[in-house]
Order: sequence, then C-alpha cells, then structure tokens
Amino acid sequence: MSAAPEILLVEDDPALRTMLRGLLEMSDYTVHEAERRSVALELLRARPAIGIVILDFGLPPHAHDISEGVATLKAIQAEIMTCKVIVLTGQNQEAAALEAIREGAFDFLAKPMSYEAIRGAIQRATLFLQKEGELSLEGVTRIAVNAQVSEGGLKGLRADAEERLVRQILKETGFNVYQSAKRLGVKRENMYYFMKKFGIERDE
Amino acid sequence: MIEQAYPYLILIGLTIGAVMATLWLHARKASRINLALIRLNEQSGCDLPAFLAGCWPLLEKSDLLGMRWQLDWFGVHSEHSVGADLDGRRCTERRIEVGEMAITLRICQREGRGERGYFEATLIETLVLLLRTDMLIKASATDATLNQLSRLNLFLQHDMKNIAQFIQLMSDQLQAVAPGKEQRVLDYLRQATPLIRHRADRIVRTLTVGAMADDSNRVVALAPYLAEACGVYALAHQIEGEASVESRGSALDTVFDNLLKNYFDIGNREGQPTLCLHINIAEKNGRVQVSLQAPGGPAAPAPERLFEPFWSSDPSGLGIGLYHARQTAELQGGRLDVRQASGAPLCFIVEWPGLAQPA
Repeated sequence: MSAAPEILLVEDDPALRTMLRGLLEMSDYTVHEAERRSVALELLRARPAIGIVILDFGLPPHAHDISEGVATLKAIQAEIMTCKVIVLTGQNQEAAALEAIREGAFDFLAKPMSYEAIRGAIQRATLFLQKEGELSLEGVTRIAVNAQVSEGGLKGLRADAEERLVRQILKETGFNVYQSAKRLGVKRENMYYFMKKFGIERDE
Repeated sequence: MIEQAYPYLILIGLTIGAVMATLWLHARKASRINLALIRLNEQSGCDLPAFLAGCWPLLEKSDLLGMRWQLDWFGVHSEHSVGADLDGRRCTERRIEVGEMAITLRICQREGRGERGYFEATLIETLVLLLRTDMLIKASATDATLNQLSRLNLFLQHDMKNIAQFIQLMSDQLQAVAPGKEQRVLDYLRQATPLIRHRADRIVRTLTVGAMADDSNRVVALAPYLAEACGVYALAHQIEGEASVESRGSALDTVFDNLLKNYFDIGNREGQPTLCLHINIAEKNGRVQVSLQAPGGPAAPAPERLFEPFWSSDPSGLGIGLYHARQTAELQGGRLDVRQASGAPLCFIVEWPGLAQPA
C-alpha cells in the first residue's frame, strides 16, 4: 500500500462532495466520488487502490435516515474489502455511531466536522492500512468479527471467524487455492471443502 | 253480521292511525334532533369540547333529563353537568377512549317512557357516535401533524448539518490556502458555491410554502432556463420549442425545481440515473405550455396522489414539493397538471401566462 491511499467519497450532497474533494485534492490525495451505494461498490471493485472510504450515512433513497448508509457499510464489509471506512454523517448521532461501530467502520465523525479532524482520521486509517499491509507480508491476516453471545456461543463465533478468514485469504491471494492453503496451513482439498461449505465462488 | 263489526273495525283503525301518527311525530322529532346534532358537530369543526358545550339545548328538546360527563383531554381532567341532578336516577352510561382522550358520559332519561325510550336511545347512540368520531378525527389529525413535524425536523436537521459542514470546510480551505494554489481554491469554490446556494434556496422555498421571497418580475426564456435547471441535477434532456414567460419572484424556480428534483430522485432511487427528460415548449392563445416526460422511466406508483400534501413515494421525502409547486403555479395564473396514458410515461404539464403583447 502506498503512503497515500486513494479515497472514495460517498456523499449525496454535490456541494459538500465538491468542497471536500477540493480539500482532499489540495492535500494531494487521489479522490473518487459516488453519490449512492451502487456507484460506490462499482468503484471499490474496479479500483483496488482505494484504501479509504468517507461515507455519509444519509444516502438516497433514504437521505434522511441512516438505513442506506448502513447498508452501504455492510455491503463493503461483506465483500471483505481491505479499505477503511470513515463515517461522516449528520444523522442521529447516537444511532449512527452505534451502527457504524457494529458494522465495522474505522472511525465516526459527526457533521459539522473540521477538515483537520477529517484529515486526522484519514491519517490514522492510512497508518492502519500500512501496518496491516506489513502484517500481511508476515502472514498475519486481520479479520473483523462481531461476536454476540447467543445460542451458537463459541461454535457460531468460530464458524464466522473461519469463513471471514478463508474469504479474506482467498481475496488476498487472488483466489489462488494453493497459496491460500499454504497460508492457512491446510491441504488444498480442505480449501475446496471450505469454499463449498461457505458458498465461495471464484468470481466474487 | 259484518256490519256489526264496523264500529270496532273503525275504532281499531283509528287507534292504529293514532298510534302511527304519534310514532311518526316522535320519529320526526328524534330525526330532527339527530340532524341538528350532526350539523352542530360540523359547525363546531368536529371539535369535541366545543360540540359537547353546545349540544344540551338540542338534547333537552327530546325530554332527556340531564347529562354529566367527565373529560380527560390530553392529560387535563374536567367534569361538567347540564340539566337535572342525576343522582339516584336511571342513567345510560358510556365511556369512549381514543389515544390520550377519554370521556365518561352519563345521560338521564325519564322513568317509564315506553316507545319514547327507544327514540331517546337512538339519540344517545347518535351522540356517542359523533363523540367517538370527533375523537378519532382529533387523534388522526394529531398523529398526522406530529408525523409531519418529525419529518420536517429530520429534513431540516440533515440539510442544516450539510450546510454547516460545507461552511466549515470552506472556512478551513480559505484559511490554509498554500501559495500558488489560490486559483485551484477559487475553481473549487466556483463549482461548489452555486450548488450550496441552490440547496439553501430549496430549503427556504420548502419552509415558505405559499409565500414569495420577493415580488420582482423577470422575463425568462424557457429553453435556456430549463437547460440550466436540468444541468443542476445533471439530468440528460432534449428540449423542443421556445417561449418566454414572466415570472414573479422565485415562482418559476419553485415549480420547475420541484419537478426536476423529482426526476433526479426517481432516477437515483430506481437505479436509472441516465434518464433522459423530453421537454416540449409550446405557446398558444397567450398561454405557454411546457410538458415534461421521461420515456423509459419508472412508472409513478400513485399518480392521483402526486399533489397530495405530505404524501410521498420517496421514503425520505417531505411530500410538499409538488403540492407547493402546484399552489405556486396557480397563484401566478398558471397550472400544474399530470397525465398518464396507459403504458405511457408520466407527463407533467406546466401552463403559464405568456408575455403580454405590447399595445
């Protein structure tokens, strides 16, 4: 990962998006823009260099509540993307912060926020990305798992962690089953078993 | 033989006639009082406390003795009594509860009233029905108003925070302009400030339904005006025809901005951001007609409700934009209408008075 990752701005207000893009570009970041979830996901798939997403929770078609923003964050997390998501929102702060944390956002900023604070969050996210990249080279993969003590208990948690780890390793190795098996310390046949078990397909 | 029965038959007939006449008179009286109660309720605007305060003189005409009610009205308890003292008398009691409203009603009838009792019972049922209806109307109106206020609050909060964020970022940008980058900052500001101005205008217009910000008149050439307005929402468009109209204040902006924003929102919501808007401008008999439609666009879920205030197919919409636009057009002597032929896309028609011809 380079020192300055590319940034994706997901914001439905064109004025605000333009202003924030201007500030980020003046700080020498490469910025991409999306006004809704589908465009954001397309850009993230097409441009792996995007390391940081600044996400507004109030997106169309539900610009006045957090549901679409949360759905966007969930979709990003579901695709096991390595990018860090910074939530910048003017929605109900308590509910938005809770959802952001629950769904694995890297940081949460409430509007209105100074550019210094936004840049601080970007710098922290950049540092995390760099360090995770270094750890990855050492064979350490960081996964995020939301654990809820319920009937499944440890068993459910283990299955969730196992699935995320397998998905992430496959993604990192470009779906190279041999390399993935080697990193996970299992046989190649086991990788096929996991892929079948978790319904992982090559073109994901 | 039969002749001997005539006097009895006549007597029976007269008795039946007298009974029927008496019943008819009572029924007519009860019916009149029922109708008078309904009219009084309408005159009171279906306002329960006002209706109750004025209904006793009507009920009294039916020989009811007295009425007492205990009212719990949004947390305030009150007791009222009219007519005779009810203690120790036979009374009909009813309780109605709707939301934060409750009423316990006791009505006293005379003893041994025979058939009159039935007419009085129907009268009491009419009264109870009207009271229940008033309470349901009140509850429904209160819920609707609170819901609208809540939506307005959400709308304002979201937009105001975005504007505050914009100002914060603009301030941050202006405070730290690196030497040599002044032109770039100016370029960003040139792009962003018209967009935020547009957004602020929308908020002001939303909050000033029916009021015009200023009364200055301007002549507007519609084709370039609509092309620019479509540009604000990045809407692809084809414009045919040209005409000019006179617009007072921001009336024209209110009408077209609401229409175009709807197309923009629908396009985004339905994943069809590339909708192409076909606009036709025509002038006939001193009136200018502009039709807007988006072939291939999604169908409107309920075209008959498009101008209903506080109704929106957009879950985050306030539902007053098109209502406001229609009101504004009519205030200017124009018209805003919608048509949807079977299988055809929705078509908005804006009609506006043409420019006055010089004498």
